[in-house]
Amino acid sequence: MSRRIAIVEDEVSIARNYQEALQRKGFAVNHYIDRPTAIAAFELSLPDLAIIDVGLGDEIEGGFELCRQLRSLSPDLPIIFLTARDDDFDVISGLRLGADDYLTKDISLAQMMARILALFRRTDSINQPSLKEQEIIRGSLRLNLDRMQAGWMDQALDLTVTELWMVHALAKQPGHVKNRQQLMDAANVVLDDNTITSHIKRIRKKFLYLDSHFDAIQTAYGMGYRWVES
Amino acid sequence: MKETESAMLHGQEQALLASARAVSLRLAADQSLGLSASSVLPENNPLYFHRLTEAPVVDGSDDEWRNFSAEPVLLLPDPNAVTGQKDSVPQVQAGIFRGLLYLFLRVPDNTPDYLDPSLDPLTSGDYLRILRSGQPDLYLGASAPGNINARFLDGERIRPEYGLSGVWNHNGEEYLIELRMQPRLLAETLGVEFFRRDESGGQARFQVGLLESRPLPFLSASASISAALDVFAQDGLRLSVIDNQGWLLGQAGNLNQSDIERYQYGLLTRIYRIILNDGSTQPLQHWQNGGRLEAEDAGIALAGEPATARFSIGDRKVGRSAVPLMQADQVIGAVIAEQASDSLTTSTNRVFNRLLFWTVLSMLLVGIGLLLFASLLSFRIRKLSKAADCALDERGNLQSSFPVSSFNDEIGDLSRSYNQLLSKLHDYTEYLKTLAGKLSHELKTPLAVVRTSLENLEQQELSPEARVYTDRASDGASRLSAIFSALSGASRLEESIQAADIELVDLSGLVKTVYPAYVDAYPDTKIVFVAPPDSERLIIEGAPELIVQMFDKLIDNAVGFCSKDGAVELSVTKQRKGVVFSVSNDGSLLPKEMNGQLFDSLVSLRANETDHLHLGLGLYIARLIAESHGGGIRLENRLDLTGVMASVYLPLSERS
Repeated sequence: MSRRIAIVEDEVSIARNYQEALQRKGFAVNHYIDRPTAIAAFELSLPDLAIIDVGLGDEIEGGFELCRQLRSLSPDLPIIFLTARDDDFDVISGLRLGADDYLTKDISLAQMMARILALFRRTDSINQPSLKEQEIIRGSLRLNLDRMQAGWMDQALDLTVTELWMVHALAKQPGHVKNRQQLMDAANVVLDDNTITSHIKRIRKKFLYLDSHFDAIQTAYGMGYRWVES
Repeated sequence: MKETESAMLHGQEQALLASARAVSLRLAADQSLGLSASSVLPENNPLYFHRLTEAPVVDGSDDEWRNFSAEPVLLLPDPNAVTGQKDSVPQVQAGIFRGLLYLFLRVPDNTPDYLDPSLDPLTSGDYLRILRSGQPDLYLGASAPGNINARFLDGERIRPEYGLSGVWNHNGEEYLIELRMQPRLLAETLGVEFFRRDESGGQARFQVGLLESRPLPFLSASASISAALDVFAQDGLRLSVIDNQGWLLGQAGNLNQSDIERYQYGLLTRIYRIILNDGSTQPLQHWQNGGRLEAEDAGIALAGEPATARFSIGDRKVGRSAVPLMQADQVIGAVIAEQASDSLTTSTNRVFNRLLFWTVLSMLLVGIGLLLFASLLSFRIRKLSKAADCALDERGNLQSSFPVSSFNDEIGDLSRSYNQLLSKLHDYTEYLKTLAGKLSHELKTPLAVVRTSLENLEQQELSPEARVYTDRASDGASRLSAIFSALSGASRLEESIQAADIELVDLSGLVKTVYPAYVDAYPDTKIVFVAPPDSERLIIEGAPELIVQMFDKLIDNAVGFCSKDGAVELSVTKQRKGVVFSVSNDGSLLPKEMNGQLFDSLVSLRANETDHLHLGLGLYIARLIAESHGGGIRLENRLDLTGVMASVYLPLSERS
């Protein structure tokens, strides 16, 4: 049975393009034009993944509201925000509501596809025994790219797909400086300098939430960032 | 002023006429004064006795007489009885003081001829004869200079008359004869004759007060008339009575003002008098010195009509009114009222002074008021102009604060309009600043449509020709995407700045850290770092990521504009309260007209777009970062004009 992806997007052209691209990859894709029709459909049956625009028709933040409702229906459903709005504030709001990733609309279909697959891997892994051999362990850090999961000091670390890929890129070769371009490539995104800085900042905060002495991600000024093993 | 004076003079004339008329009526009514028409004609050369102000000492010298106002009267030669020298006419001054008559004669005679008592005690030398009606003639002569007494013939006998005594002197050229006569010797008439012998034995006879050898009536100012006039006279007002022949019968008052009235001296008074004195008035003659008034106005008055005239004494003006003195429908004389216009000048002065004072005061007040008002206006305009000058800083940024005037006038309006204009301009500038970000934001959705469509298209079976076009379209879309990303990134920078974690940063350490990275990043360009002394720690407060981002932009810019074999030089220098990070590169200079704009977004000087995408955001971002750290940024040509230098000033932390 093919996986069902729901796209909630008021811009029909984009929705159709994504729909067709995803359908080519074998997904069953439903498109909802606004929040009421989407939530009505979700109450009948949940999709396997939801791609939501923040601004939905007249509702400027309808996507956030929909995310909240969807999260209450299912705590595990992968949700991706796909929006033209890329303010830090919007990103943080979206992620706080429980979205698994927050993407701007200039992302390519290939990058989108990589995320969708990664997210499906993560949901699938919940019901499968863990594959230890795929894990990368760097000191207190555990990364499992197959399951798209991360942990720090034996506690689960809640990272978005983008963040996880970034941490992976850094931790794979400790001590090596990764510049911004390398980080973007690893995370399958195109971002400007400040957005990368914001991402790094958010990642650090998530580590610091678990461990107030965390300083493994260091800034190499003028070059990029590096992972330093304690 | 002249009008004022003219009006006042007219008033004065009327007043003078009125008072003269009153006096004339009063005098005419008073029978006791004994006023009557006179028959003594001036051409008969009568003797007029002036009223003296003091008694002369009878000593044969003219000391007192020179001071008296009495004019000398000539003793005219008697043509019928002249055998000798007619020239060198004697003259006499006559005066009366407290009833005593005084005579002073001056008789030119080089050869004094004294009486020879052995020949004739009365007439053997030069002698004087006084004739009176109904009285014996009195002879006066001297046998030697000295005291003399009058003598008269009582039949054949010569008798002395002690009531008339005097001194007979000779000073080598003339006789000086001074006489005093008791009132009891007075008669209705009085005539004086002098007989002078000369060397040739001839005798000349000189007469005064005589008509055909008969003495003429005795003329003098009457004490009683003067006393009657004195009632009316006052300071500055002189009243005189003349008889129908013009002889002065009485006088009171004087033309001199008291000092209290003439309180004004000095330049101002002189100016008034120069202004008021038009030179048209005749000088007033000392007519009373001759004992007779002979003038046009007096003539009119004696003809029966009142008259007025104006004269001047020096720079003072005198108004004169003459009014006929009537008795039984016959003109027996005239009353002359004279008033000096000192009082007028004074009044005019006072009026003018008051006018001048108030005029000057009001002009002064108005002037001061205007000056203050003008100063206030100019101050406010200057303030407004200064504020307008400061409304734009050197980079053309609008300052948010503009002092708004609370005055409810044109300048206040101007200030408010200016403020409104500036705030609108500010809003618009803000709008323009965020426009790029907003625009890129809005364009992202249609761009996403294009890109996803292209990506879908690439999945289709396409001919190689079509593939070329889709590739080109994708390329263009990517570039558009990059542009939007850069634009929104720049506009989002301010948010990042606000969200940035501020920490203490050692700037020199930071530059040392990043310097190798730049050397690596730009292998084709020589980058030099002039490090500050190691001991110096330049601690600032800021976000290191942002500062490094600023360095990136500046260095990227410098490298981009560096001439082919030139070098880029980085330096960090400490200033008094801050630190200056500068990046300078060899190469072409800045165009003058662009300076200042270069720090705005989307302004670029790069000549040709290379593979590297340049939106002119680098310096804009650098400026935002520098300003967010409380510093500033400048781009200027090097002093030696070999290139361009960008300097960032950042304040040193006060916490370190």
